[in-house]
Amino acid sequence: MTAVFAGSPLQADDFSAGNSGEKFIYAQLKFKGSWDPYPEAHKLISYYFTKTTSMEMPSERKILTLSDKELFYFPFLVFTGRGGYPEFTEDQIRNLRRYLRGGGIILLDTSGDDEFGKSAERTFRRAFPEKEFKKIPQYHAVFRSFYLVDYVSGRTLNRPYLTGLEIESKIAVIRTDNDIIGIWPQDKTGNPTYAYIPGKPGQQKEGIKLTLNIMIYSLSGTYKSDDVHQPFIKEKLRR
Amino acid sequence: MNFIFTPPNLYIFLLIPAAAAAMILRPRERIFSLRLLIYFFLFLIILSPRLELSKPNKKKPAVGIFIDGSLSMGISERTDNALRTARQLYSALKSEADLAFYKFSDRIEKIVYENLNGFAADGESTDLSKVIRDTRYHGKIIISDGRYNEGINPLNVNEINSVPIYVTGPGGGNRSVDLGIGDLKIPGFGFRGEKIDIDFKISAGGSPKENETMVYLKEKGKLIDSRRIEISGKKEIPVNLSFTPDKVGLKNYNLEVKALAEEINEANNIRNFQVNINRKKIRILYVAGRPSWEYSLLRRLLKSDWQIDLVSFLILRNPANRTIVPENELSLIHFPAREMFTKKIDDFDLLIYENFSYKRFFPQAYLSHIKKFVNEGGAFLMMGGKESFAGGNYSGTPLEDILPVDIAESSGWKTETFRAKVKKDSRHPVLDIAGDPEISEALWRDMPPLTGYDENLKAKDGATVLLEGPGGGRLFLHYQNPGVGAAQP
Repeated sequence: MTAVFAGSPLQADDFSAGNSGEKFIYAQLKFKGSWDPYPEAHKLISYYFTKTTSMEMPSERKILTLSDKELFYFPFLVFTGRGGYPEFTEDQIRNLRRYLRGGGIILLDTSGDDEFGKSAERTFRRAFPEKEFKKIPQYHAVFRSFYLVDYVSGRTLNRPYLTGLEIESKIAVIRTDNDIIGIWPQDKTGNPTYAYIPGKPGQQKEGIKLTLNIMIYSLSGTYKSDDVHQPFIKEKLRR
Repeated sequence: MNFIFTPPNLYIFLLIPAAAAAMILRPRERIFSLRLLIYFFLFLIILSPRLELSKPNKKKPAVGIFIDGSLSMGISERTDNALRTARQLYSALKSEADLAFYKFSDRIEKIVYENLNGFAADGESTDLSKVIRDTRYHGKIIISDGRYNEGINPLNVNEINSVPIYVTGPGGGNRSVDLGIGDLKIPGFGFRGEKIDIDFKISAGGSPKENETMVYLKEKGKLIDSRRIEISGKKEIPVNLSFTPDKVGLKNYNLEVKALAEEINEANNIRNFQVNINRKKIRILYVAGRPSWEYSLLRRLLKSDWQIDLVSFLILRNPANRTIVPENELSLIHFPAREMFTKKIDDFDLLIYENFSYKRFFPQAYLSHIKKFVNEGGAFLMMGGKESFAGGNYSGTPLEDILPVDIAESSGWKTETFRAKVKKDSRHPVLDIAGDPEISEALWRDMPPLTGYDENLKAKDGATVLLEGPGGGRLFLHYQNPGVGAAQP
């Protein structure tokens, strides 16, 4: 038997119509607070993503709130900020819960900011009181979804591991405290805008690798944990 | 017939006349007599004697005479000797017992004594345990060479001690050399990709000069397992062979013991059997030309089903893409197209192409393997995207032959937001997403909108359109069964 499904949700070129189409859209969550510490970071992320992977990422990002109906058309969301923020409404928490249960993935970058981190924890606790963030093991697919990541990097090295919130048998919220978005902004000469702390060799490269890995993981899931990949990965890790 | 005197029968029988006799005596003697009677009555109550009268039963016992009619009895004069024995038994026992004659091999059939001359030893195997289980008779006589090769060891049958059994051999002839396959244990079904064990025993009669022989297991003449067996000094040799089927379906196999040079009966050297090979899991090969949300969600759905074994390949990087790190820091592997689409394709039940253009990875000739795979029962699904159909250069390829659409040479991709509709009167399990046609149709109506389609795709004659797009003429979900019939009304 052969079958074709000849239509596609994949072909919308105009993502502003509310559909991510065949391109991977960098969507960022806006909220009442300091939600956008790096307004230009997405441009370089999209450049690297498009140049190095088989996907395209437009240089424009999509800004969404938890009240937007379009939220559900953008399955990948960056949630970062500085300082605490007012609590989300019940409707917004309900949308957040639906979003994650429906297959959405959120990259939560606290940048090591305690106030923002606590506010974010409160938000997710309201949405999923029965769940808690757990350490993501080093063998998880997110560390090998595209690159083999040596260590959890970012502009800072506050925490050497990622934590995640598991929803519907997948890591739906990936949290880093290392300001991973902060490694991307560059000045006109191509140098990082913000200093890396402590400035370990390879810190930028590992941060770039981890950012792209998280995005590819949102699209490929546990693909790199399939048996067919293991001998090759083990051989590369051995080297 | 038994007639039994028991109290109170006996007591009344004795008491009435005794009491009557006592009444005619004089009072003094009467009292004495009555006292004596009471003592005697008490004596009877305590001892309760019985008097039993019976007549002997004149019915004759039923005796079954079972003559071995298997092929091994055809050797030398075994059958003649067996029939001679049967006739002698008839002469000796007909007045003392009700005799019934049977021929047995792999089954038991009643025969008429007068037709013994027509007895032929043509049974394919010998199942003595069936004879032992038959408990209709007061006794059984079995005439056999004892070479059972089917059923369990007759000595282990539960009914072995239920009636007397007398066994006699056919006699005659010398101990002929004969190997036979018996006690064959095979599963009724197996699973593709999982080992199946075949256990059996080789019986070795006579005194063969050779010390060993070979055992072969074949499927349609193709050897799948073999074993060298030592037979010297052994009467029964347990053997195990095994194989791992790679295709589903009802399969025919045969076991063969290589005949010895002096073997006089080779008919029992071969046993044929069938095993129904099923698939344990549905094996799916899913190839996606690039990461997408469709891949992400469909993969998760397929992975969550324990009845599905999913192998997927996702093209994460194209040759034109740059790399910012050394090769050994990439987790990417080479796409094993040749292995998947030539050698391993028959391992799968369903092949999915999502937005995948073959040209960058393998030659068009590999698509013929997919066509053959589908024509031999496999399933294929092509999911739309920029690099499917015309965009994937499938026009004029073997894949177009099996797809239910005609693929134009160039893609007519149109960006338009719409909702696909179930085609009127369409019925297919794929459309039944709710278990109820009306609810399913409502759910299809409420599905999220699609945003594009290839307007150059047309359904072939014989294809069934299940979902339609804008204007009713656009095709969205359709299927055909290439191997069933080229044209369907």
